[in-house]
Amino acid sequence: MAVPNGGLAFPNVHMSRVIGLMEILNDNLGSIELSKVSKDYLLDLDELLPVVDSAELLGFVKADQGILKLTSEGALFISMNPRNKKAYLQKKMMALELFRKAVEIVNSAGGCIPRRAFLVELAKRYPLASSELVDWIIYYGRLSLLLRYDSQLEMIWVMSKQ
Amino acid sequence: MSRVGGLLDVIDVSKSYAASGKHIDVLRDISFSIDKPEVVSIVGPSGCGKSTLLRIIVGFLPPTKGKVLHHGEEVKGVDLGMSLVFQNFALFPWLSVQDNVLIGLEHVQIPHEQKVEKAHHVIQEVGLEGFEEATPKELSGGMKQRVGLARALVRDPEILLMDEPFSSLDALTAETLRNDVLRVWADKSLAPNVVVMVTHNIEEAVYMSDRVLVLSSRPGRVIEDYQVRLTRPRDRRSPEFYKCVDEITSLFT
Amino acid sequence: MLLSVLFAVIVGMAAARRKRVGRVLIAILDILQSVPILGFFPAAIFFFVLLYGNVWGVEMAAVFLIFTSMAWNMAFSVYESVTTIPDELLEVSEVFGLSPWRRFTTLYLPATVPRLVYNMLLSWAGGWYFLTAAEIIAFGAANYALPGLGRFIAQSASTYSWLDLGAGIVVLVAVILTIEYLLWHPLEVYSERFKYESTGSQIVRPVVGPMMIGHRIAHSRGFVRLRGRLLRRTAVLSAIISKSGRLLGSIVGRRLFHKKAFKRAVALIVTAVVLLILYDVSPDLLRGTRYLVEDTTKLMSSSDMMKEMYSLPVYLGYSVSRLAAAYVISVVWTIPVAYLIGRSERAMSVVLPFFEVVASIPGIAYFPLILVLLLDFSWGPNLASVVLVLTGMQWYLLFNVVAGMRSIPNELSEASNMFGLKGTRLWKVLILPVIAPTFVTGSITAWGGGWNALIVSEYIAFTDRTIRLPGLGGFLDAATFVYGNIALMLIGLFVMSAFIITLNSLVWHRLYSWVSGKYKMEIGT
Repeated sequence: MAVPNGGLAFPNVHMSRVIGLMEILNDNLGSIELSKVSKDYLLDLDELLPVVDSAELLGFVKADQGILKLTSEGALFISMNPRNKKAYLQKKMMALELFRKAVEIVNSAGGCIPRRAFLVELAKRYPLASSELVDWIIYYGRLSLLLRYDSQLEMIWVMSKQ
Repeated sequence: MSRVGGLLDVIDVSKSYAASGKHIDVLRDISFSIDKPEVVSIVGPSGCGKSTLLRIIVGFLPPTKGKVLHHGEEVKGVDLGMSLVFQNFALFPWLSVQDNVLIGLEHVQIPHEQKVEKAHHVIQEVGLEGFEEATPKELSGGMKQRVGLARALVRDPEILLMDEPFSSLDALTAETLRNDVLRVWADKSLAPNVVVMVTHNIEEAVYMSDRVLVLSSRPGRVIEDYQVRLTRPRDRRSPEFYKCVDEITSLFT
Repeated sequence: MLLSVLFAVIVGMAAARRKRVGRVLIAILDILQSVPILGFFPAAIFFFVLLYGNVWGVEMAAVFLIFTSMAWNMAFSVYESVTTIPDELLEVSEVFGLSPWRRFTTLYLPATVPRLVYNMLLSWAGGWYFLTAAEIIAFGAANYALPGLGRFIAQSASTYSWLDLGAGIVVLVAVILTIEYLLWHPLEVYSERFKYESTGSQIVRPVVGPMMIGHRIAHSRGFVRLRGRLLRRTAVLSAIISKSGRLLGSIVGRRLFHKKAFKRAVALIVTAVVLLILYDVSPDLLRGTRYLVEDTTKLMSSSDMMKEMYSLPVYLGYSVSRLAAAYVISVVWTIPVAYLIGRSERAMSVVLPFFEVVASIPGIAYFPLILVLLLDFSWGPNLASVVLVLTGMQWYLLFNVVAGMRSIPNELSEASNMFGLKGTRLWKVLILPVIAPTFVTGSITAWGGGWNALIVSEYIAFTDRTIRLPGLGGFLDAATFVYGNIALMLIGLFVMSAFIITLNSLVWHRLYSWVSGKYKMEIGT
């Protein structure tokens, strides 16, 4: 399902779908038509396109005129074991401007900030920021072990890098 | 008469119900054995009793006739050496990921710190590190099933049983998860050795298993014990793959 | 009953359609719903009798009482049903230009039917309760008497004629049961077809055994024919109305419905009508206020009455402790029983209907008997009161918790079994969290029902003596029948309402939000 981030450069699908796409590419020798993926796996474009976008943002896939290609980074990534995947993901996240800014915000609040305040600060720099964007930041933050979140208290922490 | 070295023996298992005066045969004379580490799929038309069979193996339901042996001992009630992954995840919505996984160790008598350590380890294995304190509400379908998997694995079961584990997931996520399960199974340092999976997706069965047990429609009988002799990793588009899928599909008609 | 249905539909729909009106109305309804009706009854008798003379007054009071017991619930359910109509259906009716009346009949009315029927059923059962209570209370105040089963029962109790009492109870039960099976069950089954959810939601009543009768009747040719005839008659009626509506609409022009001027005209007419009514009623109101003033002076000057008034906090304390005691007893027995019932299909089909039958017998009917039996013990009356309150509370709790137990998803039970959750752990991790929301709802309704029972239980008149317990109910009844003072009554009512409303908002509402936030089950978790 397409989650409009208002054009903000941040992935908005779960990692397992990105990896799923990458594995399909891998099975197909690194290149496949988007329409074929849609047909073979019974996924409509509404569902696929956000996955492609997110995969591109992370540098794992390249889309060019309807043809998807697995980048060398992507090929490397899916061959890694879980530990290395995490480390790689951390690098990738910090390379995204939006995520860097997000970490900055939490740090300048003393390493820990309530979710609502976080959104307010984020919106100052990115007026189109929404609560959904915060959800994805938290998700990828947790995934890359860079952020911690408690849903009961609604608090975001920065984790020390591992 | 127990088979020597039999990991899992299903012997002449039948199951029937009596409901409102009518007698319903769900399974009839199911027999098969597993005596080495392998992945076995059970496929069949809907209503053929595959889920019931799984629950009999695990020990939830008693067979009306026949028995199930685990290492020669009859299965009565839930067996510590087996674990089940559910189709709709069956997570407790008010517990965190970590607490849900810890439920898997409820039966096990070890100090709490050790339990937490084991839970952490298996959470890492399934790729959910960082989400230990999240609640199921915050997780996607794929992540929830990973929790289910982690919970099933945390007590190091010898046999992992799965009831249509990927049918509630979208195609991309399911793909990732299938490979993760295969990875866990192949890893010698981790239990389990044996995976028994119920599925209605024949391609999935061929992709993942060494053996495919084909059941007939109700009352379910074993039509065929199909051996999949393709090397892993398997290529879905290879002609051999298609052949296997075709052969199994034709058994349904 | 009819009055309340009409009221419910009008108010409920008004609340649903206009957001602001809705919010105000709902808040009012909420308060009205929580205040125990029986508390008002003595006052109502007094009031109506004052205005309309002995015979009519009491009847009107009784009708009013029953109306209030039914109307709020049903208005709520109408509101709920209308607000949950799937958006697409609303859009369809817009796109196809259905006139307001057609919209009403094809969209709104059917939407409300399932819940309304269910509520009508409950209200009817509640109605019996209040009816007998009303008749008994009316009897207790020797001057006012209502002919009816309730009075017969009360009479026999007060004259210690046990045989008559027994007969009365049996007749009451028989009547209740017959109406239930012949009317309500078929209606319920019929209303199933109007439900929107494709997965048939569970009615708490299983369709087995004696319940089959309801099914068979619903599908029997006689019923279907009757239904057909009724529908055809009403179809003619609704056709007439819709035609005239359309005619009117075309004359006035559809656009006009939305024009401000039209709306203003309607508002004007409505206010005119209201003013007319007020004008008509005002002399009575004036008289009423005069009495009130008189009585207040009487109150101030009577030391007895003043003493009563100052004892109010104490009375409140007594009443609340009786309620609390009954509540604790209810909780202690309903939860284990609900657990046992919930886990076995057989129990569901046998035990549950049994409880339903017992639950529909108003405890008020046999209360006098119990009271007399216990009279000789010094703590007798108190115990009897608690018992009566119990009968008003426990069923709500039981049925709600049973529903909760049934809602435990199969997979979770299997998972618990799989991983060895047993005993206290099982309760802590699975059962208690799942039933928490229904338990709270059940408790809220239980307390609501408890208050009503409490008030009846604290005052009862026999031919040779009257028994009055220190408590709110006793106070109210005394104010009506012993002192006959409106001011005193009003004070009592005020204290009671204030306490209940505060309790509701401070405790129950908060508890409910907390519980439903934490323990809500999503479909397919």
